[in-house]
Amino acid sequence: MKKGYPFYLFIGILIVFQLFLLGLKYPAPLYSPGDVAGKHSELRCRDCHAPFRKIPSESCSKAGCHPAGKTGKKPAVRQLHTALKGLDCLACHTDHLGPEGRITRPFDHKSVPGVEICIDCHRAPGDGIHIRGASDCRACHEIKAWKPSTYNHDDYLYLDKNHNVICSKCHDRNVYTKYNCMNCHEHASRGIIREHEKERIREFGDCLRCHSVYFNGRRYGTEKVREGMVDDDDDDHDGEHGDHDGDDD
Amino acid sequence: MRIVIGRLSALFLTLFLVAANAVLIETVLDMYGIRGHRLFTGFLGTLLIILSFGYSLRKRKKLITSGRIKGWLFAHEWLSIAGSFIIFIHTGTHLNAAVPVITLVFMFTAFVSGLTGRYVYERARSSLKMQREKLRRSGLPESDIEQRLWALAITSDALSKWRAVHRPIVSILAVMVVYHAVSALYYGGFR
Repeated sequence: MKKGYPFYLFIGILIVFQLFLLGLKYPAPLYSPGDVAGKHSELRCRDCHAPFRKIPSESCSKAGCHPAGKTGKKPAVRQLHTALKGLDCLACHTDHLGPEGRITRPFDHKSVPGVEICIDCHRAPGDGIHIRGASDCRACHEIKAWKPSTYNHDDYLYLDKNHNVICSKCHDRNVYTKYNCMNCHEHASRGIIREHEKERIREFGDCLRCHSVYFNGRRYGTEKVREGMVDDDDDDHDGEHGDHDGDDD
Repeated sequence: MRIVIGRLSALFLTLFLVAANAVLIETVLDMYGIRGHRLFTGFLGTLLIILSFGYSLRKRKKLITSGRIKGWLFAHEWLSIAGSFIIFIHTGTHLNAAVPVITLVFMFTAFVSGLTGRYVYERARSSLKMQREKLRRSGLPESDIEQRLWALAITSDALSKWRAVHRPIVSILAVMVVYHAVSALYYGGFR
């Protein structure tokens, strides 16, 4: 007897019905696209999944699994999750990649809307290189990675052959928010001291705070005071300061 | 017989090119962490295969009554090949859950049986017909003709059974696809 499409469709429905019944008891082998990681394997599918919806973030926090803001063992991770509280967990996390699967996706800042200030999530740098309180990280860093930074010392002072020295030569105790030209440029210190004391200036190692110098094709420092440093007309491109030996005593 | 072997080679080559290339593409996408294509490729591949059923409707004059049968058959073949290719991309090497794997097995069988019809059976049948005509024209008695062409006749007869596999498999596949899609959307949502 020749059997038509309706017969085979019925066979298909029969197969599906059996699979459906089996799936009620053992859903994971039937529907799971891959084993879940770690302790997730102790859960049932419906503990996380919601019908015909992407997994809601509430599934992660309910039953005390990942209470909002208290996620992660490392303090930095906890801090990050506190900052991202209320956002979609699946923006960064996934599963079903095997028991040892990496369930955190490579972080994409674009997936976290409304986050603009780096130190809301990242720990503020505590080293001497970074200016304390500075919030514009993007002035030197790319979003993709902290390193390499786009920091360029030339923006502050061109390091020519005479200035190509170890950092502490200019930055005492490796505090990079300050510098001291006098560690090398003693000049005629007594004369300089006298000149500055006349103006009641006690600290004057950071010459560029008040003076400017023309260097490597650009001007560095401020022009509060023109005397004592090289003049534009001198155009000392080698980086040598102007002659102020007249201050010699 | 040489024709049948040649056609079989073409069948396996098509099968290999379609499946292997699709799996390769999916592996590369997976390597770069691109996974957003799965819903789209599943939908698109299924759509193309559904469209290929236009041929069956035209053949039975249900809903579609216009157009040359040959044209519809051509569309049936190529839409199925393209649809299967996209479904292979959709599947890739992810063979974990039973429901999608069973669905894939049915699709693969339907694909192979379809290719058998396209590449081997049609050619074997026309070749048998041509050779029989040729021998008849040469004045050979019917019994001698049958004796000479027995191997090709048996092969052609065996291959004619491909439809007996293709039809039921496609019917079950249709139900399995619906079940797979509903269960996948139930757990994963429309993302």
